[in-house]
Amino acid sequence: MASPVIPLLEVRDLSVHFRTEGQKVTAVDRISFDLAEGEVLGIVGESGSGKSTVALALMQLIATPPGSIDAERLSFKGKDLMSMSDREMRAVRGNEISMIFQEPMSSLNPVFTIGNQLVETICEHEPLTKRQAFAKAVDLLRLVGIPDPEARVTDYPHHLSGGMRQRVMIAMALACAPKLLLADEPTTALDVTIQAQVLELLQHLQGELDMAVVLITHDLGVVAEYTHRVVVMYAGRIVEEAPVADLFAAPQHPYTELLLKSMPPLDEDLHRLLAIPGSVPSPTEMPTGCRFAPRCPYAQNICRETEPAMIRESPARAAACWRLVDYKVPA
Amino acid sequence: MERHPFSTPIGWRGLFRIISERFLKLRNSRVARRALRNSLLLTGIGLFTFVVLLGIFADFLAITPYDEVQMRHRFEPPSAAFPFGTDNFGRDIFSRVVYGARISLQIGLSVVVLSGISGVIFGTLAGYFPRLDNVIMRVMDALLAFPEIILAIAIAATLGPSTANAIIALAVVYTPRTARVVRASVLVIRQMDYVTAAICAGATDMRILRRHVFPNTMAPLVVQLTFIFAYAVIAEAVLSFLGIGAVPPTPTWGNIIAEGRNYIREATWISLFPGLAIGITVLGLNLLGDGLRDVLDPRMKVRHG
Repeated sequence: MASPVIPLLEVRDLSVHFRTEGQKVTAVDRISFDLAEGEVLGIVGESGSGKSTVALALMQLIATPPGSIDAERLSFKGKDLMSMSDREMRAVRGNEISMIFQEPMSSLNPVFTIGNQLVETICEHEPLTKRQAFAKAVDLLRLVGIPDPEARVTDYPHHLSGGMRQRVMIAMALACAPKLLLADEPTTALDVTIQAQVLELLQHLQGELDMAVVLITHDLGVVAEYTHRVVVMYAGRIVEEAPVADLFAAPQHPYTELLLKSMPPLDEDLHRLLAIPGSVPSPTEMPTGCRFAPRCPYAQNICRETEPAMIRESPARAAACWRLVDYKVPA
Repeated sequence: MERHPFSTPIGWRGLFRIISERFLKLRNSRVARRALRNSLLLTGIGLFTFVVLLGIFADFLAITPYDEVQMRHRFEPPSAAFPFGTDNFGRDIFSRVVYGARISLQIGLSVVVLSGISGVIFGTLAGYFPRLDNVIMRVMDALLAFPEIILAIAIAATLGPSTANAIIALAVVYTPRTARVVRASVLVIRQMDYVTAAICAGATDMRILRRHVFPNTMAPLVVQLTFIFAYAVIAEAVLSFLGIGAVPPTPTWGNIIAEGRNYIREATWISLFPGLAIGITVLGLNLLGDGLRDVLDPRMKVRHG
C-alpha cells in the first residue's frame, strides 16, 4: 500500500543517452518510478526497450563517455545517487544495492574457486578474518540451496552447472544483506525447470531478508508469478505501470494488451501464436508522437503527432495512451 | 595403494605425471591432462630443460675452463678430450658453449621478466583506461614499426657493449609485443560479467585489476613470453655476433660464432656447435610456446599435420 514515507528508491525523469559516431542515442527516456521497501517490481519489455540500461544506470555503471545519465531525482533511501562520489557509490554498491546478471557462465571469475570469490566480496564489506569469512561463505551457499556447501566451496566455476552458478551469484549478491537487489534477466540463460527453482529461491530470500527486488525480464509469466507491481517499457519509455493483478486483469495500454495476448494460452488449442506486427523502433529513428503508434491497432492521428503523457488513474496505476484521455478532436 | 614411483618402469610421460600430480598439485586438472597428451609440448619441455640443466651445471660439465688457452691444441677437431673441438686459441668449444648457455639463458630470462613487467603495466593501463589507450599504444606502434633487430642494435650500440645494456635494449624492443597481448586480453576481460559483478560488489579499480584482470591475462602472456624468450636468445646472439653484446672473453653463442667465422672452412666446428645450441634452444622454446598455447587455450589450437 502506498504510504507517505520516503520510498526506498525514487526515480524521476531518468534518461540515459549514448553518443556514438556523433549521434546522440537515447536508450532510456524520462522514466519515473518508485519502489517501496520489501517490494518486488517487475520491469518488462522487449529486447532493446532499455530495461537493462535502467538497472545499470541505478548502479551508476553506465560508462561515461560514451554514455550520460540525467535525472531530476535518483535517490536511494533519500540519498541522491547522482551526486555521490566514486567512493560513496562504492559503499552503496554491494552493501545496499546488489545486482545479478543474465549470464551465469561469465559472471564468475574462472581462475578462482567460488569460496575464494565469496570470501573476497564478504571481506570487502565486513571486518572479518579469512576463517570467519569462509564460514560465512559456506553459510551463504547453504542459504541459496547448494547441496553439500562445505565441498562445493572449493570448486571452480567450471565445475558447476548454470543453475548452480546463478545460485552462487545470488549468494555473492546477498553477501552483505542489501536492501535492494537488481536482477537483470536472472533466469533467461537457464533451463525452464532451473528457472523456476532460481525464481522460487529469489522469492524465498526476498521474503526472508525483507529486501526490495527489481526483476527485469521479458517473460510475463515470471512477472505474474513473482512480482507485486509491474512497469512496462517500450522503446525507452514507460508505457504502463500497475499492480500485477490489475495489469493482467485489465491492461490499459495497447502494447500491454497485445503482449498479454501474445502469450500462448494453456487451455485452448492455438494454431498460430499472436505476434505484434513490426518491431521496436531503432533509437536513432524514434517516431514523433506515441512510439507505439506505428504498431498500434488503435492508432489515431493524434497518436502519430503528439506523445501522450502518463495518465495516472490511481496512485499505483498509470498508462501513457491517448485512449485514456477524454479528449476532443479539434474541429 | 601407494606405489613407489620408481618401482616400475614409468617412462617420460609417467615421470611428468608424477611431477605434475605430486609436486605441482595438478591432480584432476584438465590442463595437466591435456599437457600430458601433447607430445610437442613434452618435447619442448625436454629440450629446454636440457639446455637449462647445461647452463646450471656448467661448472661441472666444463672440465677445461672456458678461457684456458692451450696453444698446443689449436684448431683441434672434436675428439674425446675436446668433444666440440677447439678454437684458434686452443680453447675448448664445449666449455664455451656450455657457459654460453648460461649467459644466453640469463639474458633471455632477464628480457622476459623485464618486458613482461613493462608489458603488463603498459598493456593493462591501455586496456583498462580508455583515455590512456591511444597514447600508450601509438608509442608501442612506433616501437614496433622498427625492425626489431635494427632497433635492438641501435639501442645497444648507443648504450655501449655490455650484458646489461643488451638486456635493456632487448627488453625495450619486446615490450610492445607483450603490451599488445596484455591489452587485447584486458579489453576482453573488462567486458566480462564478473568484472561488472565485482564493481557491483563495490570493488576498487586496483582490486579489479589485481584480482580479476591480471590473473586472466596470464595464459596468453605466458605463451607470448615463451616466444619472446626464443627471440631474445636469437637477438642476443646477433648482438654479440656484431660485438655489441656481452664483452669477450665472456663466451656467448653469438661471439663464439663470430670468432669462428674466419675459420669456417677449415674449422667448421667452432661455429657449428654454438649454432646448434641456438637451434636446439629456440626449437625447444617454440615447441614449448605452441604446446602451452594449445593446452591453455584449446580454442586457439593449431592443427598440426
